[in-house]
Amino acid sequence: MTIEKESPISRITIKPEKCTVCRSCEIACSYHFKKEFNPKISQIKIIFDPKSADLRISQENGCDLCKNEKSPLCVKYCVRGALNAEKVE
Amino acid sequence: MDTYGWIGKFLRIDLSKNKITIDSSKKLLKRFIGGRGVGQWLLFDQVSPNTQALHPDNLLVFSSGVLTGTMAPASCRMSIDTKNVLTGGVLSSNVGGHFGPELKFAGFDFLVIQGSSDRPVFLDIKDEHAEIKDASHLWGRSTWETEDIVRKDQGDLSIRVASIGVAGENLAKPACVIVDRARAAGRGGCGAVLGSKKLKAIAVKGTQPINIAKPEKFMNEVEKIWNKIDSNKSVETRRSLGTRAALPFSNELGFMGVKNFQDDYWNPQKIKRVSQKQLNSNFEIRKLACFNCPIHCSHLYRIPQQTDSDLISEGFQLNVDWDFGGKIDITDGEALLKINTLCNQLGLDLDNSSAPIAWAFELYEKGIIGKNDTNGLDLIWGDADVVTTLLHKIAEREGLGKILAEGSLRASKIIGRGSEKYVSHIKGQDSIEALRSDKGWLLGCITSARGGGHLDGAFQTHKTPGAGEPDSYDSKAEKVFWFERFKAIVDMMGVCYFATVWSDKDLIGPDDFSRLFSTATGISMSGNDLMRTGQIVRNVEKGFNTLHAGFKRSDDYPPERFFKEPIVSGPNKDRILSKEGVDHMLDEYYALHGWDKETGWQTTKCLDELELNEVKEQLCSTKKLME
Repeated sequence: MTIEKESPISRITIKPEKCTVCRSCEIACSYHFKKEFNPKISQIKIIFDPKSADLRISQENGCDLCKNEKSPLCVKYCVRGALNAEKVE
Repeated sequence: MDTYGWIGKFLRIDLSKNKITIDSSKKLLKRFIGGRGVGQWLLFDQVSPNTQALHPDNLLVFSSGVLTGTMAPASCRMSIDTKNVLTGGVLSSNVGGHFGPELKFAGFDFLVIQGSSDRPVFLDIKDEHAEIKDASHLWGRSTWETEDIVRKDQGDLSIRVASIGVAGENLAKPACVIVDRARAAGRGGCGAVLGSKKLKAIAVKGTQPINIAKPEKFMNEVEKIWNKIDSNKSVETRRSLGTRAALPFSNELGFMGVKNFQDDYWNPQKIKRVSQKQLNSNFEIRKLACFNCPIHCSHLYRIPQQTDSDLISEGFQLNVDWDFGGKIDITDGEALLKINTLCNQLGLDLDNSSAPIAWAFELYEKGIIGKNDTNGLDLIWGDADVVTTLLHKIAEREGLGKILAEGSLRASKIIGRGSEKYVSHIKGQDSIEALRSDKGWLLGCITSARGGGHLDGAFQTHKTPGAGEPDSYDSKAEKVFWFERFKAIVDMMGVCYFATVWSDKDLIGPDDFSRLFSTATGISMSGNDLMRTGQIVRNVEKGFNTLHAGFKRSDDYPPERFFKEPIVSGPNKDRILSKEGVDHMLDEYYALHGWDKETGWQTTKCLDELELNEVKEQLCSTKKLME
């Protein structure tokens, strides 16, 4: 799955099969926006159903790809590489 | 907003009066920090020594740590503190997953439950509000069904649920609390405490923020520690194989009890048969982590079934190898996986339910009990089907299961016939650790306040600098004294022990916690300050045990059989415990604490130094305080 953003710098590609459902990305994202920890305001959402093992990762419209950071914080704190920042040529 | 790190709120529920109140106590936070620290203090302060664990007056405290829910690595933990059903002393059980962080997102650090409902209820917590709701439709259900129904009824998959299974409903003493299907607050019977209050489950969902005093500085500390964890070699192993990576090695070091501790070495061929690599290659569908944990030591498996749909279940940790592998001799990895799943569904602690089963198997082998006692079951080592039947019976308190549901020590008093000789317990709670090889492990387990367990002061000598040789009784007391204070910090912070120096010397230590805590809360505390608070908490627990359970020095010894029966095979063959050696360690350990060597009780001097006047006064009034 690939989600492209209208950004000259990069896009975030998502590999759900690598996600560990730790949700570090959610709180890293909330820190980026409001210097607080709160999954509610995160622009990336991890929804996991333990019964079926279905996993959904969605990037919301408010994502600005962490313009002021070296790389998006959700990517930085994703240890398994489920989220990756890619340069757009 | 002037509370950082913490939310600063207690949610208090009185189930007898159907009453809900919200308050805050900043004084308590400064003194006991959070998690287990606050939980243990509330127990000491508010539960009378005459109150039985399953009486409505027993308190049940769910406590997130000060760092729980933040970006601090592995900030997933929550403590459940209550009076211990098995020992009559103190209990602090700790659980990961996502419930603790969600409690904070819902606007509370602490959930304090007292009283008892006259009908099954569950607690529904959402954004600074709570409601006590009817749970008649959940009563009798497994923990998995309970989670599914609660989420389905509210149409929200992100609701977090802590629940009990039928074991807790039936007040079986090995009952635990299950979170996120596979995370257990296991020891001490806290599931039975929920059952006694007719509290089936707690559902929590929140959208509130956790604020940080110095956000940039905090994130700088997070990044440093995160990188330290990410580049650590032992973490890499844990990521691929979980705690089970240690299985072959720990067997060689003597950490595997076999056939109810008749030996402490399992045949390496059997270890190969249950290997994690095989389970991963056959069944793994993804790696799984607790909240914000870069270590992700768990795995999700899909196991094809002959009937019905596939079984989707989390993998298990090393203690299942101890509990049902070595101790009961089950050599089928898939069977172990299914037993782990069943215990989670029934709400049975793996450790406290395997121990009485292993004990019963040994009694059967020795002819002390027969088919008349076992409801016709043939208790033959390694029979996973019989174990499965007995787990159901324990949860239902039926037949032999009714006796085993009391824990081995009480069960031995019911059965008699010399069966007590084969019980492995510490302070009345079943002991799951092999104790004859590593004396650091031994001392930590026997002095643990909650009655055994390797997650307090116990450490593994081979990976602890300055701890001497594993088989020597020297240099162990000072390390246990260090680790038990450090573990109290870890539990107050709400971080997983696996992310710390307990697991690997290069991971999170007291000074790292000091920087995380200080930048998160804006309150400066050094690593030494935190260690002192750890010591204070340990002394609150010690005081509780003395007052409530009457524990003294004689309760700090390992099971008698380990002084009489040596290890019979493997690299540690012939090792046996010596009374002199254990006494030497206990003398040193009490001296470090400033406790009295003869009685094991606390002294005026030690409690004055820690400014624990409340503990001192209560001990003094019952004549259990030494000069």
